[in-house]
Amino acid sequence: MERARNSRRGDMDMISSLPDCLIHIIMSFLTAQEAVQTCVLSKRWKNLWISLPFLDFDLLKFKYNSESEDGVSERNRVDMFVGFVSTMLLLREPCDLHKFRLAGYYVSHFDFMRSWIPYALKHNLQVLNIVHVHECSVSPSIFTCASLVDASLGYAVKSVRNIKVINLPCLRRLSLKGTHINQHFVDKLFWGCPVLEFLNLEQCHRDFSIINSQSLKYLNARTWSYCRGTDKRMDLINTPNLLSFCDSICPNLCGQKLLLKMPSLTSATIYMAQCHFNWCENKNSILIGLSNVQNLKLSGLGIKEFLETELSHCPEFAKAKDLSVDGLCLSCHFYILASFLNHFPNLEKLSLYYSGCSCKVQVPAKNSLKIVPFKGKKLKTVEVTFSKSDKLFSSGGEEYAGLHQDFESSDQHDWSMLLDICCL
Amino acid sequence: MARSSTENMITLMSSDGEEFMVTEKVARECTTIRNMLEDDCVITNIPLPNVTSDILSMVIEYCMEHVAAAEKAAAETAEKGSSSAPAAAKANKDLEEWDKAFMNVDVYTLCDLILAANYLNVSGLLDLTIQTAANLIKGKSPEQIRKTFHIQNDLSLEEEEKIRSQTPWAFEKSE
Repeated sequence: MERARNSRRGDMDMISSLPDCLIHIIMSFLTAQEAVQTCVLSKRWKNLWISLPFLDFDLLKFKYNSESEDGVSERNRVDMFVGFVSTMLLLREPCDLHKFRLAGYYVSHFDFMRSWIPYALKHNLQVLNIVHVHECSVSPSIFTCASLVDASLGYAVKSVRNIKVINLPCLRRLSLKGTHINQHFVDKLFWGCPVLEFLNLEQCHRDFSIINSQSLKYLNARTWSYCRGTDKRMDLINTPNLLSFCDSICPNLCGQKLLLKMPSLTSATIYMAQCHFNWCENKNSILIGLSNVQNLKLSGLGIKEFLETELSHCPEFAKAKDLSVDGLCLSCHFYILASFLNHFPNLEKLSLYYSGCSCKVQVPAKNSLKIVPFKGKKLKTVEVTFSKSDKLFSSGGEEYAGLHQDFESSDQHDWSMLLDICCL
Repeated sequence: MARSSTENMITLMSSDGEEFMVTEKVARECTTIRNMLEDDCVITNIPLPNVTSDILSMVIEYCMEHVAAAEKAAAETAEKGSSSAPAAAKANKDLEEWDKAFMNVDVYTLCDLILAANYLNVSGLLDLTIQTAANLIKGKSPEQIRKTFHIQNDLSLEEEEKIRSQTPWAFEKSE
């Protein structure tokens, strides 16, 4: 169904007549190597790469034909890659470089690589994305680049000890992965980044307890999927303009209280890590700080312990319309969910993810547990998602019938009308 | 939408004089037109001297489809309280399929669409067309790229060899 229009002009070379800036945007979807290689297409293309403001250097995507495929040729490939990046940066025009990406996979040619990031930073760089780059080739001057808007440093900065000054007046987004972050760095970061809106700390070691920021709107502080016992717990997050918050907590918070001051928050995702440290004490009030949200997602293997201890002092989520619960065994612990739901008087949609029963402890017979009826009047949709391999499907729906009964007995609503069963 | 002006009709005129009546909502998908409307809200007739009628009709088709998809999603959210995840995922997939079919055009039209999307500032369409063009280049030999885009090779063999010998670091060969 190709549209055959303008057949008389069909053989014209249109792409070459596009302005440089549009050809450059097309080239921004290519690796730097693919972009340079267009130089042999025609005279028009010969020098286009020289002023390309988007450079993507990725060792894994670097193409290098070699006769033999042994370890020696792989070392050759790395040498060729390092030579390629160095030469391209040397030969390109000294014009703006808006976007610089480097995926280095810990190549250790430090003598060459040390100059790459400073080169990019000097050319009005706005977007920096480096991943798997050896710390020795990462320059601390990243943190004083006045033009930088978006920085993503994945497994490139392990320790923040060498970062003495942070001054990033334009930075809006920062993403750090695999970094050991201390309080000193966090304080400097929010002083030095007055317009920082998006902060993503993925798999970072947390050695700080206080976040104070007026500008922050999105915070993802989810660290690991289990409690390592060594991460410092956060005490205070004071972010008056925060809209979205994602965190992982240990259900047995180590005796500390986490104070959340985020009155503008609309959406929260909390991952309850599984904790193996039994010396922890149960004292937590995280839900109180989240009581203004419209959208709440809870997940993780520690969710049962978390809800059990939180229920006694759970606030009312008057604004919440959307609740999602993942990781709770609905066959054994439905009664916990039922009590929890009554703190959501205006709930419109409930999503449940059921990944099968792995409860080690036998729960008392169903009839002995009181299931609190749900009183919310606005609930319109209940979505239950099962995994395909779940025994609910192989067992011919027996358990499903039980689950269904739980729903019916827990409510004045006709749950069966609402249930929207999906399958992953 | 608090403004009732969404049903206002706007006339867009292509470079070859053809007129297209669209709702203001569809026209607003083009940031260039949106800015004009915000500067002067009584404007109802907009000449677009840089876009031909066949390309303009395609841009309008794209904008209408995306406005309709957004309206449908909003209506579902209003009706059910919030849209269900699988339904939203399906709607997204449908729109992606539509985009893919929409991009089944010759390279000449594709380049015209890039220019029009850039001029009218339709970010979704610009991303889609640029990505499509980049995919036609990715992983192809220079000869294949020339053939795809009808690029006349005005370099002599010697010149091409010279360029290659000046940039050996960029080509995949072992020394």
